[in-house]
Amino acid sequence: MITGLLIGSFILLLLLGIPVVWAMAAAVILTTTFGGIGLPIAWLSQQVLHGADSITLSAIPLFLLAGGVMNKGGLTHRIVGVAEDVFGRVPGGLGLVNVATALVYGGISGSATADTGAVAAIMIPAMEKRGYPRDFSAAVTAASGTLGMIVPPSVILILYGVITNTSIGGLFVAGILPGLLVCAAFMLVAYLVGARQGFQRSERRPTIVSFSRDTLRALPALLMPLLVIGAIVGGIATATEAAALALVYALLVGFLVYRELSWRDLPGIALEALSTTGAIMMIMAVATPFAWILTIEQVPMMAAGWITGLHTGPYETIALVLLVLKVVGFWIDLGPALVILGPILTPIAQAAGFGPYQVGLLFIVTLGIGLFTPPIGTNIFVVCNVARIDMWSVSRRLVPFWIAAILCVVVLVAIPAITQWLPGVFGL
Amino acid sequence: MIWLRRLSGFLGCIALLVMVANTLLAVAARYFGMTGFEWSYEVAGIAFIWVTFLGTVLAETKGENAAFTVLRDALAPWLASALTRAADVAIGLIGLTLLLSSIAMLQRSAFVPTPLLRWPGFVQSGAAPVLGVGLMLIALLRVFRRTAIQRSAKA
Amino acid sequence: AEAQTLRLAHASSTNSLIDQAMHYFADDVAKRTGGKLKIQDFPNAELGDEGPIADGVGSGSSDIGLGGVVDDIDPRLNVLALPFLFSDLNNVHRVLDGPVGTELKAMGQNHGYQMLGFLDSGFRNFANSRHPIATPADIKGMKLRTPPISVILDTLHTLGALPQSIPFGQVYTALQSHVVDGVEPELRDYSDEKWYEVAKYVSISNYIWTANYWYMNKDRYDALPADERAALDASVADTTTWYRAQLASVYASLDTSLTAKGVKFNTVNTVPFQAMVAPVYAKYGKIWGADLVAQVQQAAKADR
Ligand code: NA
Ligand code: NA
Repeated sequence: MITGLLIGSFILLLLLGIPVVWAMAAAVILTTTFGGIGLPIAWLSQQVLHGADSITLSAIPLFLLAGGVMNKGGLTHRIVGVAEDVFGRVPGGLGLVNVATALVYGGISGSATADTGAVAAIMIPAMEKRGYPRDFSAAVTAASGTLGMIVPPSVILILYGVITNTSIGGLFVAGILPGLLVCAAFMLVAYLVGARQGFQRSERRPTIVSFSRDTLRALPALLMPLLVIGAIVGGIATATEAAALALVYALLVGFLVYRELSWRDLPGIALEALSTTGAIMMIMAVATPFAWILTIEQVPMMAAGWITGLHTGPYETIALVLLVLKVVGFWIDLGPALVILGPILTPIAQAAGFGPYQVGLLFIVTLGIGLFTPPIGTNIFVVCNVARIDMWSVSRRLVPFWIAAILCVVVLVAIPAITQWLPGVFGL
Repeated sequence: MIWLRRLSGFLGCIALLVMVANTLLAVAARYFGMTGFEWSYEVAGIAFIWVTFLGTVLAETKGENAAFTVLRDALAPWLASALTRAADVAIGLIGLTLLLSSIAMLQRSAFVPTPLLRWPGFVQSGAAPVLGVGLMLIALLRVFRRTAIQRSAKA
Repeated sequence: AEAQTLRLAHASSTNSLIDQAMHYFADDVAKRTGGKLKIQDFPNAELGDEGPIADGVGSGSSDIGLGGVVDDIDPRLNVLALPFLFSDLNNVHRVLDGPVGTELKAMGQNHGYQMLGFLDSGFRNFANSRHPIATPADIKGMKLRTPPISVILDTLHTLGALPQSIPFGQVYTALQSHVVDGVEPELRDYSDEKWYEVAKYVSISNYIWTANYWYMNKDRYDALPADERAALDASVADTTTWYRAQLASVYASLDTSLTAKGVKFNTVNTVPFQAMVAPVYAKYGKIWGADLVAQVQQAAKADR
C-alpha cells in the first residue's frame, strides 16, 4: 500500500511532465504525509542532505569544469580533429570515438556518473558541430558512460567485493574483458545506426602529412588523459583529485599553449557546470529518502525472497536474479541496490553453478544498464542536462543500446571464461 | 527571476571555487608531505553540498531539470498550461516542506560540530533551508509572471 | 499493549559479528517480552552511514542505532579513543562495566539519546604496504589514511606519521596505487574491506580502542512500559556478554585466515610510542574536561 502510493504517485507526476527530481520529492512527501509511516518532520531534509553528501561524486563538477575548459580552450576540437582523421570515413565514426573516449575515462574515475559527465561535456558539443543528431550523441554517451564501472578501477566493483567477500583484485582483472565486450558492442551499434541513418561523414581523406600535423597540434590535449591516469597509477592522486588535476591541466593548455581561452570564458563555464551538477546531484539526493521508504517496506528483500522459493534450473535462476536486480535497480540507485540485494542474490546465483567473478560482473553490467534506463537513470539525467534535450528523445535512441547490453549479459552468462579465465591466469 | 539566477549563480561559483581549491590543496599537501591540511577534504565536502543545492536553484530558474514532457506536449494548450501551473505550485509546496523540515532538523543539530574543524553543523546543513526558500521564490515568481502575462493579454 | 516494532540500524555487514549480535538481541527481546516488543534489523548501512544513523535516531526516524560517530550524541564519548588508554580487551570491558561506563551512559540524554551500551569496534592497528612498523622511526613520515576523527588524527600526528583523509570507499585503490602507504584499521575491517590484498604488513600495536556506541531515541525509550524497558536493558546486558565472549575466537580465526593470505604480522613494543602521546591527552583534556580525561585514565590504569 505504501509502496504503491510511492511508486504510483511518482509515475503519475512524471507523466504529467513534472521534472524527475520534483516528481520524486513530491511522491516522498505525499507518501510520508498520507501513508501513515509516522516519520519526524526533520527526516526529509536529513535524508536529502545525506544523499548529497558524497565527496567521491565531487568528481562530477570537476570533470564538467574540465570539459567546459577543454571546449573553450581549443583542446576538444583538436582531439576530435585527430579522431576524425582516423574514424571520419566510418559511418557513425564519432559515435565510435565517443565509446572509445568513455573507455579511457572509465580507467580514470571510479564513478559512472562522473565519467558520463566528462565525456558528455566534451563529445556532445563536438558531435553536434559535425552534424550528428543531438539525441543520438546523448544516447551513445549515456550508454558508454557505464564502461567506467566495468573496467578497473571501479568503486562499484570494490563495493561488490566487500559485501560478497570476493577478491577485489580478482574482480578488477575480471572486469577487463567484459568491459571490452560491452565497448565493442556499443561501437557496433554506433556503426550500424550511423550507416543506416547516413550520418555525415568527413569529406576529406586524411594524408600522412595532414594526420601527422593534426596529431602534433593535438598532442598537448591528447596528453591529458595520459597525465591524469599517470597521476592515479603513480600514486599522486585519488580518482576525485585527478579530476581536479585534469581541470588545472586543461586551464594551462587553454591559456598558455593554445591561447584560445580568455578569463571572460570562465564564469560561463562555471555556471554551466554548477547548474548541471545541481540537476544531477539533487536527483541522487532526493532518491535517498525514496529508497529509504522502499527499504523500510522490505521491497527488495521480498523480491529476492520470491526467487529463493522457486527452485528453478540454473539459467532460469540467473535470469530471475538479474530480473530482480533490474527491477529494483529501476527505483533504487546502484550502490544501495547492490548493498541490499548483493548479500541475498549472490549466494542464489553461485548455488546455481555460476563462478564468483562471473556473477559479480553480471551484477555490475545489469545494474549498469539501469543507469541508462528511464525513468531513474543517472546517466540519462547527465546527458539530458548537457545536451539540453528531453528524456523521451534520448530514450528512443537508447533502444539499440539496451538490446546490445542485454546481448552482452547473455554472452556473459553463456561463456564463463570471459569473466573467470583472466583472474585464473593471475592466480586470483 | 534574473536576480535569483544571478545570486544563486554567484554564490554557487564561490562554492565551486572553494571546492576546487581545497581538492587541489589536499593533493599538494600529500605530495609535499605537509601536515595540518587534513581539513581540506572536509571543506571540499561542505562546499560540494553548497554546489549541489545552489546549483539546483540555478538549474530550476533556467528550467533545466530533466522531465518527460512528451505527454504534456500532446495535450490541449489550456490543459498543458494548467499542468504547468500545477507543477509550479507543487515546486513551491516542496520548497515549503523542505524549509519546515530543515528548521526542525536545525533546531536539533545546527550546532553539532563538523568532524575535524569543529565548525557548527549549519555551515553544511544550512544548504537545505536555502534550497527550500529558493524553490518557494521560484514558484512565487512564476505564478506572478503568469498572472501578469494573462492580465496584459486581457488588457 | 499492542505489539510494537523498533527499527534498529547499523553499518556493519550482514552476518558480521555485530549483525549476529543484533539478531541475538532481537530474539532475546522478543523472548523476554513475549513478542510484545519486536526489533527489526537494518544492517549494512541500508538506512544510511554511521553519521546519518545517529542523526536519524536522534530525530526519531529510527529507534536504535550503533556506530562510531558520536558528535551528535556527545563528543566527550570519544574519550574512550584516547591512545594507549587500555592494555587489552579485559581491561576495556572491566572499565566500561564500572563507574566510568555508568558516567558515559548518562551522556547524550539532553540531546535526545539514551545510551544503551558499548560493543567493541576493537583495537586499531597499523597496516601498510612498505615495511613492518617496530619503532617510532618506522612510522615517521608514513602516509596513513585515517577516518575523520580528530583524536585519531592528532595521535598519528604526534607519532610522526602523515595522516591522510581519504573517503572510506576509495581506500582500497588509494592503497593499491600508493596514494597512501597504509591504514590504521581494526582487524575485522581490514579483513572485510580486503585491504590485505594491497597492504600486507600488519603491526599489532592496539594503539587506540574504539567503540560501537549503542544508543536509542530517548523519547522512545522513556515511552516504553516499565517491564519492556527492563526487558530491553536485560537483553542489552546479555547481548554484550555474548558479543564479548565471541571476540576471542573471531580474532583467532582472523589471525589464521589472514596469515594464510600472506599477511605479515609483527607485534609492536609500544613503550616508546606511549612516551610520545602526552600532548594528545593535554589537548583533549582542555576540550573534553581535564577531570573526565583524568578519571577515565586512572580507572583504566588502576585496573591493569
Ligand atoms: Na573504472
Ligand atoms: Na534506472
